[in-house]
Amino acid sequence: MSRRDFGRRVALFAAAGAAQRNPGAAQDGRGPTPLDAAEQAEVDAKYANVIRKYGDRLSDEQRSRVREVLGRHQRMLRRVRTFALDNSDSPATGLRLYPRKD
Amino acid sequence: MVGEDILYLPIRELGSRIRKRTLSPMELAESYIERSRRLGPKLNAYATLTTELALEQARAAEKEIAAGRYRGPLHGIPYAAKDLVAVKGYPTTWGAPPFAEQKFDYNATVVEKLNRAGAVLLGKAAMIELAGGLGYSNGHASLTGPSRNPWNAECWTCGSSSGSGAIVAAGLAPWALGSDTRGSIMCPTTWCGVSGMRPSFGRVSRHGAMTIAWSMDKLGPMARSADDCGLILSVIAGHDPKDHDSLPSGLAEFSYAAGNRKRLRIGRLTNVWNELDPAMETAIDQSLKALEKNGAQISDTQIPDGPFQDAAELTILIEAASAFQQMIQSGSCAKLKDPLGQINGYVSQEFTASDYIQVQRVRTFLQRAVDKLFDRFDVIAAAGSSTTARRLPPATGAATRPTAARQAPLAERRPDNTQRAPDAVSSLCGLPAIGVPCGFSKDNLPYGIQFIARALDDEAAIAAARSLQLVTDWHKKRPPAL
Repeated sequence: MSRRDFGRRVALFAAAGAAQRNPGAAQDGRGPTPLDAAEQAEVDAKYANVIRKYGDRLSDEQRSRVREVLGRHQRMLRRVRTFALDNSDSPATGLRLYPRKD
Repeated sequence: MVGEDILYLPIRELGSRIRKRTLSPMELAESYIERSRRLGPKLNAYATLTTELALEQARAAEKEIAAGRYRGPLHGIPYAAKDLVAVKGYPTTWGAPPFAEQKFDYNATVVEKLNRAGAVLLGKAAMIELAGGLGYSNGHASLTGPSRNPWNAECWTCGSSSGSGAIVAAGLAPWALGSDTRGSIMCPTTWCGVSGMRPSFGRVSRHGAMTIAWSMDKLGPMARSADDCGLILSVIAGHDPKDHDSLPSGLAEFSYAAGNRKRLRIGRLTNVWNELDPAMETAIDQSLKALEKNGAQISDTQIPDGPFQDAAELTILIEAASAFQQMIQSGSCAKLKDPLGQINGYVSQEFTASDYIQVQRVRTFLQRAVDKLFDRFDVIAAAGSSTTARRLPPATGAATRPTAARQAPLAERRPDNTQRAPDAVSSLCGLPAIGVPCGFSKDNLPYGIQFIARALDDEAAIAAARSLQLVTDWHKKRPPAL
């Protein structure tokens, strides 16, 4: 990454950060940002899947905790999913090659 | 038996006496064992004492040194290992009820390295169940009960290397091995007033250690001083083909010379904690001033904006859901002590591969952004934790907010620094960090400062902490009589 490109990305980075902070009050400690309809639908679907797979193991209290944790995860995913990335930004995962040792 | 003054000596001094044969490894091991038996249970410090092994290793060290075969700085030096590293034939419980009977028939690589160095294993240190891998609410989430802080037994040691912190602070061993995925060495280091180090990712092999998150787990020392951390790291670092993420030969090794770096450039982080006790801020200021007097250049700096905390937490949650998949699917997570741990695995299985890849792409970007800071600074510095040790809550079994015990209450103000918590930043980016004590609260609980360095520049972090310890003596303070 060139210095110029890096500067451009850092500017995007700051803008993305600001955009993420504006929609709700979660970041300033006044309570969690509400989920929008699509996010809530995703949480509902995930909750249904957890109950389908493991419902027979979960008490009412645990089911309510599952829903609460799913909501928290969704807020984290929002911030990561909306983070500005370019097509070529590669993940911090990679195949390690084992060169032949003759 | 040797006296408490000896038991609190740093490794360098113990090693020097052992080498000169003015201190017997057998007598030293027996003294730590006696103290561990007497005080360990009060603090829930150990999961298991390996007395028989310790005496056998101490006897062998004594014999070898007497014969003129001195192996190096850890020869004859006792230690404890967090109960997530495999020690052949002894229980390795991972601090969790589902694994209470678990034993391995091999040693973790780090234990093998320490065996080769002639170190003496006193026992397995207590820990938070699964090192917090499936989440936990407070210090009660441990198979062996909450580790109690030697500075105030009503307080917790922090986690997840909870027993390791208690052991070192209480003088039950001169050092203990901890593990750190996101703060599990740094927080107990700070709350217990010891010196602890999270090495660069990939420097110390994790083969034979429990996995939480392959891309974030590190093993590292908790000891009496930064200098001791350097000595220990020089022994336990190195390439291991059995650990997929082990750095290659030539990079993994750590050679420690204990030299001073001239004119360390230190960036004081001003945007990483939401709220710090003003007295703690003063302690950090005074530490940096002491370093400045000693020739360091200090200036303020900031971590760039970005979802560091979210990326770190999501990485851990998703990788842990895979690492503990068998336990989650079998339902044995129901045996975990913490109500959050009992259900978190089910929830984390709902993340998608696409989300994981997105997190890892964001991670690369954040890593580069933070790395730029080290063009201007050798190390960046901040408080080791936002608070001093907190009181243990009553053992009700009720779930509280995940890792709430380590989070400062959010201030009713902007900007919010939650995303830039130093442990999240440095762990996400695989950076080395060291924490050392830097003062005490009016309640006589330790304050800590941490120094974070560029990846693979572990030496810079140690040098900064060591420079501070050359001009202060916070690291020499001992808890009141236990």
